[in-house]
Amino acid sequence: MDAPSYQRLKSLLLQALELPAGERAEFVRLHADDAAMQAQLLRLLQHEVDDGFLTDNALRLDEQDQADALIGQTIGRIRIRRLLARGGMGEVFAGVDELLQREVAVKLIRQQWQLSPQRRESFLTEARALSALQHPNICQVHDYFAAGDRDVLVLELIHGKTLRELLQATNQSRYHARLDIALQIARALVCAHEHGIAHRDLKPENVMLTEAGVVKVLDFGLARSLQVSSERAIPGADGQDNALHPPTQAGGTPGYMAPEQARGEAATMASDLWGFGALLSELLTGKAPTEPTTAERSPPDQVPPARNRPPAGLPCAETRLLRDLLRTQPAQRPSARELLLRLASIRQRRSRRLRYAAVAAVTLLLIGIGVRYTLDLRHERNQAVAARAAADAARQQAENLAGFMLEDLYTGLLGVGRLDLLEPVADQAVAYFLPEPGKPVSAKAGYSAESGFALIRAARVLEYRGRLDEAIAVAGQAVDLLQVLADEPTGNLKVSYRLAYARAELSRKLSSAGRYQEAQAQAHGAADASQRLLHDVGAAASQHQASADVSTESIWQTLLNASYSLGDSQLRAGQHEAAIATLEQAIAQAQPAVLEYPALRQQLGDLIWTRCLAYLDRSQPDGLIAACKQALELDQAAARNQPEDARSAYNLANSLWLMGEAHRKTGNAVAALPYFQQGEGIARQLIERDPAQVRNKNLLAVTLLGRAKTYAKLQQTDPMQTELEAVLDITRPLVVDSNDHLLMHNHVTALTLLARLDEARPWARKLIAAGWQRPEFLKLCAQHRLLDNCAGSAP
Amino acid sequence: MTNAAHITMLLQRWQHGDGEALEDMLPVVYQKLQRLAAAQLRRDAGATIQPTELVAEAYLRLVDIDSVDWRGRVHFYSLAARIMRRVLVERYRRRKAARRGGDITLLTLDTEQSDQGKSPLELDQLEQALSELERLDQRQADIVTLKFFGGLTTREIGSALALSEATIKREWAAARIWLFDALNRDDS
Repeated sequence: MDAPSYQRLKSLLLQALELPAGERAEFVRLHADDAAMQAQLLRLLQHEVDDGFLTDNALRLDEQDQADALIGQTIGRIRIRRLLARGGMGEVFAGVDELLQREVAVKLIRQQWQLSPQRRESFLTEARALSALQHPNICQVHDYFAAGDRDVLVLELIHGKTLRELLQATNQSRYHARLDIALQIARALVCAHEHGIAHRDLKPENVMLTEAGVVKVLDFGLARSLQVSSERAIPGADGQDNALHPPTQAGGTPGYMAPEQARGEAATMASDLWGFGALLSELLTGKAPTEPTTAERSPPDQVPPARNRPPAGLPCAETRLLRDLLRTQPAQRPSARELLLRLASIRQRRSRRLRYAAVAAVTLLLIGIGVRYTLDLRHERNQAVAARAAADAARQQAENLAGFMLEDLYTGLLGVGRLDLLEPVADQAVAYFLPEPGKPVSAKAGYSAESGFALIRAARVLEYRGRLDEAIAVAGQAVDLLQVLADEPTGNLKVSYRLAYARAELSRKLSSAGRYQEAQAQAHGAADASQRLLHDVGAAASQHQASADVSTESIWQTLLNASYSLGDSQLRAGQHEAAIATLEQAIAQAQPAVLEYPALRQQLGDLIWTRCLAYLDRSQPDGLIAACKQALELDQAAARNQPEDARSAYNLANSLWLMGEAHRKTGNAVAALPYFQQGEGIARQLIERDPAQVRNKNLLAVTLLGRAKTYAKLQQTDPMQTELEAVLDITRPLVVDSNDHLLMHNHVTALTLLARLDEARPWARKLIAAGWQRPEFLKLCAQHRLLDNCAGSAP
Repeated sequence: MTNAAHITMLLQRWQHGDGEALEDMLPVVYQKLQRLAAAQLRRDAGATIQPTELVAEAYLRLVDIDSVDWRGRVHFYSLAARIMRRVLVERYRRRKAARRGGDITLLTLDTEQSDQGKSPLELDQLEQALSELERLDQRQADIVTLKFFGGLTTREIGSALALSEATIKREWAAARIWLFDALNRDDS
């Protein structure tokens, strides 16, 4: 081809390129001078040229080529495996020390970086000092040697991410997790500074986080001592074209470079603290410190000089620390040691309570995994590493607090009926989340809907473990806390929802403790709030506004729970007609809702079950069997669907007991026995799974008691007495420390039916004093003349 | 003759049309250039690299600046980019020769490294194609040299060659396709 025909080709090519792809071939056919040109043009137009073709710079290509050539080669006793990073003073490779058989990182310092004899000497001094530093947060220097025309630095190989990468990723890590990173960097600084080594280029790129969450600070001192040796280039000749001669850097990283470095002075340990300040600011807030404006900067010699400011919105102590770190005068900045102490106190204040929870969670988790680790790992060293990784993982888990037991663990353990495992964690959660006495609660002070939620969950665990009074106190605190948050201008739907939820929970606990008035007040409050929320969420949804935080289903759950609690406390207070009205209304509301939200079936089941109980308390047995049958069928279906679920099993056993009671009450004692039989089997299984859980024992007691009464009705005295003794075996050890009225009720009933009236009386008195008004109990009391006034002070 | 004076003389000769002077300069410039290139890469990791600036710096250190008639920037930039082109192609060839010399370990390259996917650009083949292009269309070849070897932006190339940016873009697009075609033709 000659130049003119190339010009012709080029012109046609460019014209064709302007056309839509579909029309190019036609254009070429029409315009090409000859068949050869036509073929060539068509071929050119078909090429899909890679984006990178010739757009990447030749120089970069050259560097890559040079590095690639090293892979697979051996330098000293290190076999180079793969390129990790390029930049700084050379490439960094992953390699294997073939003698020691360990993975290492190898920094090959380019020959052009080779040092003048004095520089080299000072570099070696520093490298030696650094290699003597043994600190978990400092990347270890293993070796340093010259090989051929290269200096080779052998370092600890770190698997992980740089802090820069972490900062760029969507930042999900919690505040205290980020404080932990800062603390680890500070520890590295203390260690190095106290050995006389400054980092001189502290920035997120030089901090790595291993997979186990351990911080490693890289390039201590080394980068800069090399960098300083680079001779400065003479400024460009062409002053007019700045693009060709960008201003050269003064040997630091912008943004992390202390003012004195920016002025061209040597970096010192104090410069590290400034850099740490910039890094800390970014770590905690995602923002770099605010630079002084031009106006603030002038006059340049003002006193005190303008300086970078911490971003707004940080707590006081953090802001103060940042301000001190970012001081313009190096001498005014805190030492690394002081930094560490201040940071540790910030971290500690935030987590004083969390630590206990963490310790408990770690213990718990280590119990679970400890065995496996000792089996899997033979070497002590590996064990230590694995244990640390496990502890780190556990700590991480513990720190995801609101979720801690409370989501995965709680639900899972509730399902298998082993909430007792959570008791220590619940105690620590209470200690952590409970507001400090005298300290005001506010969203600003770090309290949130989740704090209240966690307290409620913890209260539940306490209640399950029979610590009812504590559970009530904790739940009450949760309600108070959430009420304060809901009253704040920033209060939102989620807080309102959690408040309603907490009040429903509190109501149930108060009801269990016989504080029916309070229970009803809380239940009413919760139900009203839930109705309002349903309305608000519905209104928001109809306007296509997101109310993503709270699902309609959970509001329904809370509403039904509140109704249940209201009915339950009415029933316990002897107001069975009111209870039936409450329950009927709630059931009518729930039935259509269940069609839309199948998860509400459980709450509906509770309501129907309680309605059966209410019917049982009525003097007339009309509708009793039908009501109880409905409850039993629901629970049977639920238990069939979730055979492993402890709650379903518990509910089923309760329904079986009630069905037995209903049959006995309607005069069909023989029909009652199989229900008690089956209920007993389930209750015993539940106790076997979790021997410490009080309510399962209560369930067994009440079932045996039902059977005893049935035997009484059938006038079978011996089996009746055996059953009653069995009931007492269960209740006697529990009743002493318990405030559980159902338990007392069972205890009193068993004693009374065994004619041990003197033993029964103190408990009966206690029950009456507590307002226990179940007709069954009142009847028993009157029949056996347990007390002079069995009606007590109740109306 | 001092080093700087020697280079200055070669440079002047080259500017006056003595092609061999460029050849003579290369070994002297080479080492300095390498050092600067690495320094530049370090400083600018990730940012735009300006190899031309490197060459400029190299020259400013090597030559007696007052005795060179730069004849405007066009000349200077194209000089810089050409030198860069020569240096890089030379280096590539030398390394390739050394590698083919029989380092068997290279055949067992860590497979993890082959993540580039596409076959890397063969600089010597590019050089061949670029020489061909020079014969057919000097202006296009200049644009490629300035951009790929010189690292100049479209705007800078436009101002250096006194062409509009639109023209540079069109010429660049055509040249890229033609070179791509040329390289792939050689392969097959």
